[in-house]
Amino acid sequence: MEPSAPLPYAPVPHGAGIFLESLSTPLLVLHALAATVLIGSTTHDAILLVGYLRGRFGRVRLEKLYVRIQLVAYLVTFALGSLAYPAYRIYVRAAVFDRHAPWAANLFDIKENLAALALPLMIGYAWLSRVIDPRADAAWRPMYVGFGLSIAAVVWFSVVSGLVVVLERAP
Amino acid sequence: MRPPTLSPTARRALTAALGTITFCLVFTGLSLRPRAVPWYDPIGRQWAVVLRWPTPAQPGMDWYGRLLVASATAVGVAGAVQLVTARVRSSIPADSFLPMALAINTLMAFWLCAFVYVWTLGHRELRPTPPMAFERTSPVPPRPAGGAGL
Repeated sequence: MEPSAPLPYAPVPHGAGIFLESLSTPLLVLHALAATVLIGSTTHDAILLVGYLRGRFGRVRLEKLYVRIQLVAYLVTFALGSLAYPAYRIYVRAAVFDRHAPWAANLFDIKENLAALALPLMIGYAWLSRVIDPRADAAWRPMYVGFGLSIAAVVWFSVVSGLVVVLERAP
Repeated sequence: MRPPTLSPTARRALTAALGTITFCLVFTGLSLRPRAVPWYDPIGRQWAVVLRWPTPAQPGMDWYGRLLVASATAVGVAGAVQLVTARVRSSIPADSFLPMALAINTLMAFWLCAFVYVWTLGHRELRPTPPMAFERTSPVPPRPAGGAGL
């Protein structure tokens, strides 16, 4: 085994008294676990949504169950990320990324803003899911499927870009 | 006989679409043309309503403030749509283009705002953050020992 490569930047001192900074690692782990549930439920839901486009309506109840799981996972992931955000902003972005890896700071900001943009889409989609009958409500089906697939695209982008950012530097 | 009202699906779809469009436009608009929103100061642990953050060596965060303002506006619009559609005595014909037009416009607004962020942040040139006060006063943790990595 080769010795690990030295970091390309100095270790960052802690002690700025950031909100929840002592819990940033557990928060980040829980954030990642919730994101795992989110990407799983989102992907399963997206597969069934593609089935709607092909006229397959045999698993409507299962699809709606995925949407409920997806909503809870999205809100939990979003909330945990928001709680860990101040520590990231100072110890990771300001102290490291802005100085040594601006591409990572930009990628993270794209991710956080896309996740925020998709928040009302997710809530509206789950709310619509409670009443829509994908077979009977054919007129509203394109919106329903469009919302679900757009959320899936954002979730996939956010999870992958989050992994890339963490590989560069976790708090 | 009273005319039919909008179906629950139609009411929720209209509300979700207009709420989403409102949120996206306000959230993105606040990034493109900054207005005074609540900023969070992570080091000072306080909030301030400002147009631009004044101290680069003590970074501020406008994300929470933009989220708050956009959410409040979208909830207001969604509530108004719910109230209005509850009074509408008309149904949407099965062959109407309205649901498709609403879907196209909502998703276009969403993806256009997403593209704005990808484009502007993808081309953003960051200035390195000046040394922060705690970096000069707090002890530097030791480097991880070499040789343990795979």
